[in-house]
Order: sequence, then structure tokens, then C-alpha cells
Amino acid sequence: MLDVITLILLVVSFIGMYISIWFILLFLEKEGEFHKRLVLKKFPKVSVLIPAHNAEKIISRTLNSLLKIDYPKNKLEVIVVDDGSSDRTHEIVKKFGKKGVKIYKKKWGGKASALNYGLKKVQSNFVLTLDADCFLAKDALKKMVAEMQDKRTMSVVLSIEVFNKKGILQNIQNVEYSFLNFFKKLTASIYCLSVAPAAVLYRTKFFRKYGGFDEKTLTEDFEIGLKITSHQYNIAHTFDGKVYTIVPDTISSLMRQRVRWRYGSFMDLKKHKKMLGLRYGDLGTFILPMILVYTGILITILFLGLFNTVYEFFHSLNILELMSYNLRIFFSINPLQFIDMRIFTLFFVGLIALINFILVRKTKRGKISLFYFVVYILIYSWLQAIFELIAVAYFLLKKKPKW
Amino acid sequence: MWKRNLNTGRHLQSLIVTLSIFALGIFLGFYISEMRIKGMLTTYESLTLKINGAILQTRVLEGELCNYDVLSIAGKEKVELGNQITELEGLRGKTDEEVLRLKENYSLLSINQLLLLEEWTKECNKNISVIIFFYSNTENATTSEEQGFVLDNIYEKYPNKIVIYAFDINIDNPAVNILIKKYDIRTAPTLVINEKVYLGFQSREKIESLI
Repeated sequence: MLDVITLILLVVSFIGMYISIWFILLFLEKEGEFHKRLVLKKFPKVSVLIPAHNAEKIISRTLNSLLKIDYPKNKLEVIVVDDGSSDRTHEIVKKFGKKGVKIYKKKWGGKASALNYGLKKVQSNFVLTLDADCFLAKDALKKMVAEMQDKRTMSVVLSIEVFNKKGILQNIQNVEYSFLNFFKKLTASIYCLSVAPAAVLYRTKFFRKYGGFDEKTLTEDFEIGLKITSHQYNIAHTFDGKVYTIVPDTISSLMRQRVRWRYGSFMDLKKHKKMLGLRYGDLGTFILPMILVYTGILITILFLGLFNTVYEFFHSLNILELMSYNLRIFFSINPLQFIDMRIFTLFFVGLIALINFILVRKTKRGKISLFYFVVYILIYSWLQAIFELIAVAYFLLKKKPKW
Repeated sequence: MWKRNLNTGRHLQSLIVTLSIFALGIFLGFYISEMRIKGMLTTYESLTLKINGAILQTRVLEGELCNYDVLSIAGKEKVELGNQITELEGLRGKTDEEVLRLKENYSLLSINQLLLLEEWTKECNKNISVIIFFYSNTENATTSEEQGFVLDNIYEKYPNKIVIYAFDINIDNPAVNILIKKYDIRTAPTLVINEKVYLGFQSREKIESLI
């Protein structure tokens, strides 16, 4: 039985290593993209659309940071859609009315429905959707609009950073987002980015032509990304443009978020399964399938490796008992007995992780914590594996996870 | 309309690099086991020379047997060689040709030594217990394995009081077969402690009481 496990670990490690090497090769080719600085010459009018539901604690901060950004005031329109809030969101936003912030109220229908409602009110050529708990960096919008100079670009995303960096969980997520930003930029450099989270700039004409956000999915940001790329348009990523977001600070809220993300991605990929294949180049043949299976690879390596190790541990305990726990004989009999596929896998996983860390740190000019990275690799990966299993379970049982 | 392309060049490069890394790992594994085998053959050869030398000496120089420390030949080197063969078994599997050949040579070596030792303990009144361990990797393999660990432990405790010889009953070797016939061995594990036969697994306490 253990030979089957070794074989599975071998295959899974091969696939995992292949994917990692591919991204490293891509980075070596596209490193310049991380340092590109586009200059904006014209300032088109942008409507900022903020869907809000029970956001009283955070919305004024969001609006204040928005009003401070470096963009001509007369070219900026701020629209908040109150998605059936039962708290003081509406009152708080109304106070910003004198600063030009418009607010509309509707019955609760979810973020996508709020966005679609707001889109009807947008008349500018560009719309920026902004989550209620996200704060834009001052120069973020300028940088996003600059990316629109490429006609193929239908949408622009930003690098996401954690705003509430108080606890261990948040700091681990900050490392995680650094890696996500890195991989988003890499995939964007070959026009294969397919997700549009947190704060996204769109050409309004896309929605007029192809419809708005999918109101049935749990992850409308992934779905819209797939929709845009399915029509052969591009999503650009301005790497040094930042948006700060509030991340979950407890494991249970993190779990709910991540299970929702993974479940949503399964459902969205199912909806857009026509995108898998040669027609969409590397996106359809490599990136999208990889999004589907990369956590599966993680689970296999972690849990099979763990099972194997626990099994061997008890087997060894049994032998030790027969030897009256004499460790000297135990190790002298077969000193190489512990060197097998798992050591090989562990070594290379560690090596690849280290290389990735070095590359990500390069792009961030050193601003990433080694300590939290180590915690991320050693502990957080187990959480991710568990969340993935839960998401797969929901998907297979055809049940929707609770928000 | 603009389309995304599939960059086959990059995929080919990744495949080559990944295959190279895996090939390197596999090669390293083979290299290590080859090195271990070379080391074992050297030990085996030196041990054979020692034992044959001892046998010759005792035959030629009558009455010299008791001045000879036969136990020193049956000591550390032999045990180490036995352990190395176990290690190779683990690396290459119990049916590997190289492993089986080494085991057969080791068995012949052991029998030569065993005969010499039995003569030495009888004639020279030495208080050494000789344990012959018949094992199998096919029938009752786990019990044989466990018996082996118990014996390793006992040898560690009483290295100057006992000598252990282990023979695989599945090896079709005339010398081993003679021993099997002599003690009428039918199953494994079976222990022969000071010429008395004990069938099945024997615990540490039981063996300690007999030596």
C-alpha cells in the first residue's frame, strides 16, 4: 500500500514542480513588467461604484480615503449603492452628499445585484467598482487608468494589501496576498489574468454589450474576470497600484471566506467550461486548469505525506518495542531507511518555496516578512488544505456554503 | 479579433527542467545503493579471507584451535555486514538479484564460521551460546522480522556470550539445505539455541533464559 502512496506522491510532486518551474521561467522572462511605470496623459471621467451592505463601521473611512485620491475632482463621480442595509450606512453616506457622493437605496440582493443597479446610473466611459472595506492608495486610480491606454484592456486590477495588520492571521494573509499579487502580475503579463477582486476599473461599454455581474454566483469577481477573458479581452494589473483591504481576523471567518472563494471558483469554472482548451491559449490549457487543481496538489502532498509519516511512526514504535527501545540498534540496522520519496518532496517543496520568496521579495524591494512567510508555509498551508476539502465537499454535495 | 496563444516553448523548458531534476534524484538513489554494495563486497571479501585463514590454521596446526580467538572473527564485522545486507534489502527490495547473491555468499560464510565455532566451543570448553535463526521473507514474514529485531537486541546486550547466525530458508543452497535437514526445519521463524530447536516466535525473556 505504501508503494501506491509513493507513486502518487511522485506524480503529484512532478506536477507541482512543473507548475513552479513554469512560473519561475515566466518571471525570468517578464521581470521587467514589474517595474514598468505608465504615465497618464489624459484624465477621463471615472465613476466609482461602491456596493454597501451594513457597512456603517467602515464606509466613512472608505469614502474619506477615496475623496483624497490624486485625480481631478471634476472627473470623479462617487456612487454608493445601499444594498438593503439595516444599520446606519445610509445616514453616514448621506453626510458625504455635500462632497458629491451620491447614494441609492435598494432591497437586499447581494453585491452583484447592487453593482448591476449602480451600473444603470453610471454614464462615464469608465467605472471603478470598489468594495466597501477597501481603501485606495492615492495614486492607484491614475495608474489603473494609465493601463487603459492599451485597447485590448477591458479591465484593470490592483495589488491587494492588508490594512488591519494587527494579529498573526492578518500578517500571514499579508504574505499570502504578496504572493497572489506576484502571480496575478505574472499571469497578466501573458494576458492570462482572469480574476478581478477588491477594486477594479472597467470600460463601461463592456457591461452595455455583454451584460452585468452574475447575481447567482458567490464569487462575482472571478465570474466577471472569466466573462471578460472569454470574449477575448484582457485584464491588466498595475503592480505598484495598491488597494488596502480588511481581512478576516478569526479562523472561522477566514474559513467562510476561503470556502466561498473556492466553491465559487468551481461553480464559475463550471459555468465557463468552454474556456478550457486550446482556443484560449495558455489561459485555457494551463492557467485555468491549474487554478482548479493547485490546492488539490497541496492537499495530496500534505495529507498523504502526513498519513505515510504517521503510519511509519507507529510501525517504527512497534519495532522499537521489540528492541526494548534501544535506539542505537534501531538506527544501526538500517540508517538509510528514512530516506525516501517524502524527504525528496519535502526538500524540493522547501526549495521552490524559498525561490518564490526571494522572487516576490525582489519585486517588493525587500518589504516582506521572512517570519510570517515561514509560518505561512508550515502552518497556513494546512488550513488552506482543510478549507479546500470543505469547499470540494460542498461542491460535490451540491450545497451552497453559508456566507 | 485578438487571441491568446499557447507558449509551447516555455512548457517544453519546464518539462525538461522538471524531468532533469527527477532524473537527478533517481540517479542519486542508484549511485548511493551502488556505493553501498561496493563497500559490502569489500567487507565480505576481507571477512572471507579471515575465516578461511582461521580454518586453514586450525587444520594445519593441530591443537592450536583453542589458542585462536574464533569469537573475534564472528564479531563486529560479521554483524555489520549482516546489517548492511538488511539495509540493501530495504533499498532494493527482497527479490533483487544483487541482494540475493550477497545473501547467499553471506550464508556460506556464516556456515563456515558456524562449524568452526561449534568445534571451538566444544573442544575448548567455551561458554558461548550459538543461536541459529531460520527466517523467511515469504511465509510469516512479519513474525520473522520481529524475531530478527529481538535477536538484534539480545546480541547488543550480550555480545561476548552469544553468536547469532541467520539463514533464509528460501535460499536454495546446498550448505544451508544441509543445516535445514540436520535440524528438520519446516517453518519459519525457527530458532536453534545450543542445538535445541524452538518453533515460532520466541520472546526476549525466553531467549535470555536459555543462553
